[in-house]
Amino acid sequence: MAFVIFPVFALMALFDFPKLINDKRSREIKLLSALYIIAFALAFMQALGMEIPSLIKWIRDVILDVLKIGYSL
Amino acid sequence: MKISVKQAGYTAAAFIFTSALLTKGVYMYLRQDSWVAVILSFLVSLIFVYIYATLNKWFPSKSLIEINEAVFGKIIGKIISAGYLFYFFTLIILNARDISGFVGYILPTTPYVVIMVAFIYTCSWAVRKGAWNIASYGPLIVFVSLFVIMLNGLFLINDIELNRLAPAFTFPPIKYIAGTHLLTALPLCEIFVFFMFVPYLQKADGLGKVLFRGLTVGAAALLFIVIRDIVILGDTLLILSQPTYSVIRLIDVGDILTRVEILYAGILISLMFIKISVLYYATITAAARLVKTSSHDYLIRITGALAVIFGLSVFSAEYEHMDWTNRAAPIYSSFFIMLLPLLTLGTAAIRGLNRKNK
Repeated sequence: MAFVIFPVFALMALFDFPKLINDKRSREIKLLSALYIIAFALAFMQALGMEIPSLIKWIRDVILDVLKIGYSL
Repeated sequence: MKISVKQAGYTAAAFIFTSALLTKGVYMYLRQDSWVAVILSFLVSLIFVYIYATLNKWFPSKSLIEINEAVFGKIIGKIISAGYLFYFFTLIILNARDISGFVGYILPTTPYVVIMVAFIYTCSWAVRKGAWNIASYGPLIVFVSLFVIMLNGLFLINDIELNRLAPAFTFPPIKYIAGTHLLTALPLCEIFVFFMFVPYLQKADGLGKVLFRGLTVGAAALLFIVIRDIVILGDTLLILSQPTYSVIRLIDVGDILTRVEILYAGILISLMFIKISVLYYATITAAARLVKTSSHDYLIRITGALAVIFGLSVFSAEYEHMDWTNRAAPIYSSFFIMLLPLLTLGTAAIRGLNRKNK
């Protein structure tokens, strides 16, 4: 699975970056680069079978365990 | 091209129709009384729609991001907008997970990753085409859905037992509150996301009409679905993972008309396409407006990729999904779609921004 990640992201980048570079939109390039790095790292970790943190589980833990305001079934 | 009130209203209704996937949550609380929660949540949602409409009247043609900056100032406004951006993104993740779970239920050997990538890719295509294109499918999908829902109800008429609605009003008040809160915060008031479509509406202050139309049509269909499920399934509702889909599987007209659940599955997938496309569009426009960039096209692919990555790891088991939907999700959503709009309205009124804009 991990071997698919690199070509997929390379192909996506080929569509996204050239226009921004031609238009010299440096702010957008920086933002997009940061997002690509995060997404690539997470996708690669996932493909290697590592556990990705679940945003929803974090929110759930804050609501139910920290704030203690959730419903009980 | 700008979106008409009618188009946006039906798209909002389509948005609510998808909550047929979430009815299990309210059945867990109220079983045969679940229809009470639908009516109560509709009434509560009307109050919030009025609040959203008032905000839109005070700040015509402005999206949520511009309203936050106008009301709370640059820094606090940006922090609140970033919160909304996160909320919209989590809604994409959760809905992508819902539809993958549903398709995975029909096609159990298909991996979630294949379903999610195909689905998000299709939605990204719609998002690239713009707000008008997403909304233009709304009326068609709503009318086809209503037709299929009515037709299914007609085919199941022999399985109806009205005594399954009894006994009524036997649960403790907290269960009615929890069920009403669940339906208000999750499917009904989620149409708040249409605030991001305001700049694309033909009528700059027409959000109230859009949301009212969507809420009324959506809640009416939801009420019909919930009552139909109860009178046909009774207590079996609680042991089925997809009660609404299971009801339609019962259709058998003269051994000829069977397996019509595939029609319902097609409708639900189309509705989810609308819902996720709306959320996807709201997310990327919110991000682009937040960082003040002229275009949002460059964010489409990477947002989709992130949605798939987080969507795949959102829940490790079905009980976690149920636990989230019933216990924490209403509280989480309420913060963004009830508390923050109220706070925005109150702050705008105190600062006299309503008068300034008039």
